[in-house]
Amino acid sequence: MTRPSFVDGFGFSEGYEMKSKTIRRWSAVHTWTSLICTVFLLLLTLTGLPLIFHHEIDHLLGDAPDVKEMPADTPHLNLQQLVEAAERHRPGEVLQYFGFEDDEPNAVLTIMAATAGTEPNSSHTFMLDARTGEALETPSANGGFMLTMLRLHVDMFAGLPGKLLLAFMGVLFVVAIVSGTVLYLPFMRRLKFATVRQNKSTRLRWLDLHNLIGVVTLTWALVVGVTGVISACADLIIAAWRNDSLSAMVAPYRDAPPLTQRAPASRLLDIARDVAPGMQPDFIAFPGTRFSSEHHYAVFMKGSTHLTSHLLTPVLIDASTLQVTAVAERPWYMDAMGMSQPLHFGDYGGMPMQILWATLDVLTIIVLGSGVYLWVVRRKAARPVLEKAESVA
Amino acid sequence: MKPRQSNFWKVFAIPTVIAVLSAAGLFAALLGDGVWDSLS
Repeated sequence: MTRPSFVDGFGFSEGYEMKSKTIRRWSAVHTWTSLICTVFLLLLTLTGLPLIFHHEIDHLLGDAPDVKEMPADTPHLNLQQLVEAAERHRPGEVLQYFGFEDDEPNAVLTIMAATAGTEPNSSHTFMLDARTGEALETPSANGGFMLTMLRLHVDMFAGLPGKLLLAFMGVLFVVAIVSGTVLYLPFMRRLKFATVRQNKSTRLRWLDLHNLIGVVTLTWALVVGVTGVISACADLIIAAWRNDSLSAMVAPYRDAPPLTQRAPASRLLDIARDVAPGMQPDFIAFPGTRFSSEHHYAVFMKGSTHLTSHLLTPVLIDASTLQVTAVAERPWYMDAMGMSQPLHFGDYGGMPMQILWATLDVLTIIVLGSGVYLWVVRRKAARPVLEKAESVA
Repeated sequence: MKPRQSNFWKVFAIPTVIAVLSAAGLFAALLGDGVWDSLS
């Protein structure tokens, strides 16, 4: 079946089953969603590239904390001793979080700030040697090149509005991917997979490359796009969790007087392990942070397998009596956020995965760049061709 | 209808295989403790 020829400068001119009007609509969707998000996507892909290798870059720059070699059986200080070591290191500040990392079992990630409720960007992050209580600074977590990359990537130094703007750009990116995939059919109908027409025009060569690289990186771009949108909404997800689960669990404490004397943190991990058997501690939120309440320590426990290590179960412990108030249910959206992060970072498969992520990131930059190029060239060519097509019709 | 279907698969057969393989790879690496660990 042949239809009247349809030429809009895209490089296909034969009739085919998809109606030309439908194609025009999809191509308008593809053009405009891509154009709007491209500048932001370029920022995200360019800043994402060093972030994939942040561990390696920290080591190269000498920013990684140097945890001393000591005999393997050197005993650890208890948590209260670590709390005191942290407070000695930064007098006048309070502890917000202790984090536990699998690849550094002898150090504890420590986050402190002027008040427990201080927003994350104003906090100070360092590590404590779990055996000596010695503070080890982590400069890249508090400033410098890598933090600049991270902030540009996460919120463009614009806080929640910046995150939500990037989330919206991520949604446009996903729409651009879907519409691009729909358009792939009419473009490739008469071409074999991976055809790149070399000897016609530069534009056709880049069109073919754009389509080929786009379709090959399709799944990765969708996964990283969608998980990026979910991560960008993290603040909202955490706020929803506070409203839904946390506020119900701490309801009995609503009228309780402010905490004056806090029970020592020494046994927090044992208490949490008792009620969450088989799980490992991921981090502790001290009273007053957005992951705890004014009257509770919250120990976030993670599963022991690859999959469940991304799913966190909070154990709320009364900060004056050390009684367990609740082992919180995990709402589905907290699980979605937990699963999104590794899929977005590509940090779950070691160096091969990082190289794969970087390669796909660079390929995405090429798709974005060639997309803009194709739009510019088409704009120059479209008007006379369209007029000609219309006069023929 | 028939030519349309064959057309669709002619164009999308290889991209579908690539998409399925990448999805399987991404999630297998996320879920599995075994093979990937020995590689990395």
